[in-house]
Amino acid sequence: MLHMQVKALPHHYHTSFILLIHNHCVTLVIRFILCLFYSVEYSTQILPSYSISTFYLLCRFSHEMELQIWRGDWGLPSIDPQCLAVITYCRMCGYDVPLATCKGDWNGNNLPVLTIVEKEEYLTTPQNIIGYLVHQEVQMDEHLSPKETSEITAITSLITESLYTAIMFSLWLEEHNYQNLMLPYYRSVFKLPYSLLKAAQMKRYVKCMILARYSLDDNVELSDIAAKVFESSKRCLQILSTKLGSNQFIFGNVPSQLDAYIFAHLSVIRASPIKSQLKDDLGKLTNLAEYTLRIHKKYYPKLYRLYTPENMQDRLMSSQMLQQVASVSAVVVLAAVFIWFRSPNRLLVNEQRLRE
Amino acid sequence: MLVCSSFNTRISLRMSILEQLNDISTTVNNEINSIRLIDHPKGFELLPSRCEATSIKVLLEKHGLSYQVEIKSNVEYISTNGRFPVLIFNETDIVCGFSELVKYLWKRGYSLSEKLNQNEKCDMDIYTALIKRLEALELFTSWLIEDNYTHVTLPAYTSHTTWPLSAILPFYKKRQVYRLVASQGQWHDISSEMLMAETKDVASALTERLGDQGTFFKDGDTGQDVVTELDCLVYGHLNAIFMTKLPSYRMKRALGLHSRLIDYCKYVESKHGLRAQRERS
Repeated sequence: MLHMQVKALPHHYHTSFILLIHNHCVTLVIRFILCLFYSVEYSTQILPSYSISTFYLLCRFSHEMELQIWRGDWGLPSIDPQCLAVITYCRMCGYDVPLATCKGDWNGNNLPVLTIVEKEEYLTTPQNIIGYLVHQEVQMDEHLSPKETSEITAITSLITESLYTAIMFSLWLEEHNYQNLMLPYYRSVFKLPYSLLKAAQMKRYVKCMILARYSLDDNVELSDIAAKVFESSKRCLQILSTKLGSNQFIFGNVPSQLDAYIFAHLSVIRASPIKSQLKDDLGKLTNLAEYTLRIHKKYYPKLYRLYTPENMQDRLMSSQMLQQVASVSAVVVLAAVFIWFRSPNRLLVNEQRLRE
Repeated sequence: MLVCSSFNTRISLRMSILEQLNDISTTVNNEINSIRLIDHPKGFELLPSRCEATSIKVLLEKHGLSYQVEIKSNVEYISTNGRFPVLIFNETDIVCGFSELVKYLWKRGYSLSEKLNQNEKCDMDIYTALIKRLEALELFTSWLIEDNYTHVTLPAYTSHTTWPLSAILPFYKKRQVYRLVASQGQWHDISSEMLMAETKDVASALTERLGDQGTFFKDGDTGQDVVTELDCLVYGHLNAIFMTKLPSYRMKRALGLHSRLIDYCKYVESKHGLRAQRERS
């Protein structure tokens, strides 16, 4: 049973500290048992460190590969544009990739991660993952000419340059969106101390990244950069709009890898209750807005029906109501405790006890 | 830290003054009388700034504007947005970097891409974004690859400073470059394998876009080549990358595999006379 080749694991599994300690303990116990029956050399030979992590992996993944993503919301399977791009790509190819949502056993910002169990490898970034999937013959770009293929690379880099930056900027660095969207989301994904830590960490990270892009000086204020960020994102949207024209997809009537990528970014702007200039810019370009809606309806019909705009309003209202109810009930409970603590009956009882 | 903070505030003060100057002058002056190009001393410039300088010089040459090269070792701190070389027009307007220069010239009626239609203008912006990715890779090559950093970048970057600053400044700059490269999407996996893959992507995209054409765009009616700002930018970057020598230079090898790009450089040089003016100091 134990005669399997064991290699070092992807680092994002190692980084979870508790898991590491747990693994170490289990490894030591198993080694000890093996030592009793065989010899010390044998035990170290077949059970080098981290081997239990491999068993953990094998138990956990019954599939060949698994895609780790941020959990979805707002009618989308994932709220992160990059994760959404990979999922949409698979959906467009008709390939069912097993999904796993991030549950806190993660350290870092490198989602989406595709774990390939057989090779014990992992891949990050949508470009790498899609490249691997194409290698595995999950593809739909065979009909494109070389010029169009080169356009895919160029437009992808344009989008990461401007649109992705703008989305991250308005989600994380605009205070309203951060308080109302990202903090509640992180609270729902992670447990309490981690949720606050991770959100703050991510905010700092995004700030560093965006500052580095626009200026090499640390002292620049965010308000100066905001204008530049949204200007470039507006230009990017205009370019996409002219490229699309009145076509159904970017390159004619058949979807391509680029459509998945564009849809991922636009739908996050369209579907999320984000308050930002991006939403206005996208609303003005009718063909892009319709294009996003069309793909959303076609590839995620169930989610689309669940999250119509009216539904979204109700959901927002209900979540706000819940928050209010929670805060009111907390106040009531505290008041009750306080009254009980100060109640004359209780004091009398105490006095009686003292007398006795 | 104290030294650094006062240093930074001074920079930001100077920046605001410069910006005000810029705003006033752009509304008033529309003719270009004199151009001063402030650059690093020769032999002390790094790969990214060399690329940018070549494209700027080529563009100015193409417009027929003559310029004077001035050498200063603190160009980085003269620049308002962290891009250099810095251009000073008419002794008042300060323009930093290629993209700002293109905008500045366009406002004054100097444009190479007037004939292009809407779709082709979009194409130009798209491929400019692709070259930005190449820029990040250049930064990576000169700052984050250990051989190049210790043997070339560090001596060049700290040539004009003395001890305490020569230890502090490269540290900050290196951190900034790390963040910039990481923000390209590879948040945690910055390695030289990534560099190779990215460079191959960019090179093959450029090759496929060029196809059999001489330059990126063609005149719709006559079918002749049109030299645009994009050609200047791409030529500047490719030329500087091929001409520079570094101890560990996998990027050059990856680009050199695509012989089409080398052919393109030669073609543009011989046919359209894109060549940087010889330096006059």
